[in-house]
Amino acid sequence: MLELVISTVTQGLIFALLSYGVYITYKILDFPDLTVDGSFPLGAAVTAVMLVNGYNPFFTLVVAAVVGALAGFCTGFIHVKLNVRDLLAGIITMTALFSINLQIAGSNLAVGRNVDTIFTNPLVNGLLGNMPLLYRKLIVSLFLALIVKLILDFYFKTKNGLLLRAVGDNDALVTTLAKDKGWVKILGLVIANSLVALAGAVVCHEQRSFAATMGTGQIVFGLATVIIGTTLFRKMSFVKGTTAVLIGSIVYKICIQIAISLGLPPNLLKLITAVLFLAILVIGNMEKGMVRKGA
Amino acid sequence: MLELKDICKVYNPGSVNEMCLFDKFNLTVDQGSFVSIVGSNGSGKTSMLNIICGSIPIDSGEVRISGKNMNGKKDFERYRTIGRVYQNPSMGTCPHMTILENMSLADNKGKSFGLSHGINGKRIAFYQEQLAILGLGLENKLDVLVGALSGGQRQAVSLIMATMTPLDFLILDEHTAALDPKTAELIMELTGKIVKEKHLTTMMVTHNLRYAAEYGDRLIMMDKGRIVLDKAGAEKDATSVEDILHLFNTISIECGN
Amino acid sequence: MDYQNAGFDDNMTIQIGQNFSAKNVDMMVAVATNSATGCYAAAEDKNIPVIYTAINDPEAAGLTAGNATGTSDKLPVDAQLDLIRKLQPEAKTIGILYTTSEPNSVSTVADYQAKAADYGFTIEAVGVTAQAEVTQGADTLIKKGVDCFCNLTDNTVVGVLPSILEKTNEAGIPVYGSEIEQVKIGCVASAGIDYFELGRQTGAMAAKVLKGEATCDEIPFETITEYEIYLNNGALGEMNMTVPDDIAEKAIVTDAE
Repeated sequence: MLELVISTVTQGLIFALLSYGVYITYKILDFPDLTVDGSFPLGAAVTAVMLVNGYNPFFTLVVAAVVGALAGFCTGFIHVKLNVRDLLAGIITMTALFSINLQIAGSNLAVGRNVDTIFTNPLVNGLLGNMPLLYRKLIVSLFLALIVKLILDFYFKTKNGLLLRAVGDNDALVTTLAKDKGWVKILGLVIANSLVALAGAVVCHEQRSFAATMGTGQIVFGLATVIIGTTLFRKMSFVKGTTAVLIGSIVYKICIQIAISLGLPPNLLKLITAVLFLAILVIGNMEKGMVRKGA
Repeated sequence: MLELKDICKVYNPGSVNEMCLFDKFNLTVDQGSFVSIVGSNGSGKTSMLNIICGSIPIDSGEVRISGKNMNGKKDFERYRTIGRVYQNPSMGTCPHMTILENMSLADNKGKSFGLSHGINGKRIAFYQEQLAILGLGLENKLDVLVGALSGGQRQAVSLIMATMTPLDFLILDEHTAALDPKTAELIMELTGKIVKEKHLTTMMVTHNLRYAAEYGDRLIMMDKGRIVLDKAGAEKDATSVEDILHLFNTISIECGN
Repeated sequence: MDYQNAGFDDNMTIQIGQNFSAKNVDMMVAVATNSATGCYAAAEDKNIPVIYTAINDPEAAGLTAGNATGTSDKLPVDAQLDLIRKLQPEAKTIGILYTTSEPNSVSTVADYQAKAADYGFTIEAVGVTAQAEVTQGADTLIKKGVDCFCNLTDNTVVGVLPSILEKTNEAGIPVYGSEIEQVKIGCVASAGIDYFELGRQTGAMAAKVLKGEATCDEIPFETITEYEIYLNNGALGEMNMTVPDDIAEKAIVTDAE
């Protein structure tokens, strides 16, 4: 049972990186960004190829973040400079990335057990000694999720971070503050997709594989975790947005694990998951027994 | 200070909706002047403001601010030295950020938005001073989200934010039109006070003829892209609200409004 | 026995695998590549043996070494090409519809393209990315004037086989299936594998490992070498195709009354 909890929480921590990215685009920039379905596997694709070719596992994280940034830049450029609607700009990049990912890593790419990953390598093994893989994954994922969270929290308090928050809240104000709102939006997309690709990279390390279809539905996951997280902590303003979506990601994964563990007919898995989400959102929206509108 | 030279602007050229708004329009505003601009809807008042700020392109002519030609400069570039308060109180502030955060943003106008700390602790006292002028108690509510404030309060904060940093001039775009009479009165008083204290060159578009008459040292009435009345200084002081209203109606009747 | 269905959701697969690991199952059995890689990753920590089936290319999936083994449903491409040649002596081009993101299909198409010339065929392959595109892909192949269609074990394409058959029947183009079920639905013939047999073979391997008779890395993965020829007389009749006696003798007729 403990093991199940640990592995589920680990999944939640890994995918929290994705949630951070969607939090930035959906909540802060107010931009529905479908690029995510393409940038997530992009991170995994370059990671898989690099691991198979013997590159340092930590270096793959850096590269994934960079290519994710490029993907975000594409969407931003298409939206701002070519005047395409936000939703469509993301769709265009996502669609293009499907082909690009196939070119990079083929339809599937497996990373053998003999290859070092961020969870299994001299550095981590040295620091954590004889700890089983399950626990190593937990520690490393926790470390990553927290470090990224702290960096984001710091960033949102800087002048640049305030400006980013402003552009999603009232972009007319950004213009009167003499800043180009287009470039600010592009920056937001760059940061967000960089994080999403990083999530894809970590998943590739964890799963030791890349599949071209692994991006499908990630935006749905991202939106669900952001909404679950922000709904749960709606009343607690001291809880930062990043914390809320981190917990949202863990809650989501727990819901799925509950659904699996219930032992009900396997085909009903998704139905059960949907019911659990609904329950959470309804409870989260309740105010003194009355249900408020708008999740 | 501000020169509009031979501005020509045609909307929807070549189509059924073609409309010539400005045909060699000229206007010069001196440094330190407070100009009130009135006119019926469609007279070109707001379009003129947008042309000055760069949000609408012109077909020909020049916009010169402090002697510099603004042609080709994007709107956000021009706003470096222009402050603007909009009619809609929501447009001047960020609703999901606190008053303190909004003030910090405005304080940083013209400077780099880098990775240094967004809120400058040393400036908090200054923000409180500025807000205290409003007399609305907002100086004690720095951590309240702006979205929770009333329209009048938001507009007041917008005014402070717009005038916080050094400006070439201030543009007020019917900034009291969406407020109730009492709040509008308050905002106008504050406007007068701030403009006087900071010696701001100001252009105010308003529908309120009384404000136009009472505030500022120059009055302009526009109609169909032309200036039909332009009184400054003593002449303006001598003009009463009735006079303005009379001319206003005359023009309106002529047009069949 | 704990049965789980990931519903084409890779995220689900990950958590199902972890669930198995946490329950300390003695063995994980996975059907198809994505399930297998997911289970294999989850099995790493405790080195739980993984048996897989219905993976076209276990080597490409990285599952040939280590504590995993199973059966491959690699298609008997030569046998199929031979069958087509015998049933359609005049045919020149074979159309293949496949999904670019299914590794099974990608490697099999390459196989067909490598071997087709030996039987006097050229391959026209059309790749799609989603089920919604399949009918358009079929139209494209029909327009290219292929002499017949040949199916792979492509989940996406096979999922909409009836709608493909509708179009090909109208165009008078026979479709060869890759296994018995497809022939039952309406393909003219197939030199294919019996998936029940495949399952049984896989089960036998699993039993060996569970009984401790051998470990996974001692057992190389197996492919089905025996294939059957399946015929659908009704479909063949509609296409005005006759079956040479030597084939008819050993074939299994799927629509025999």
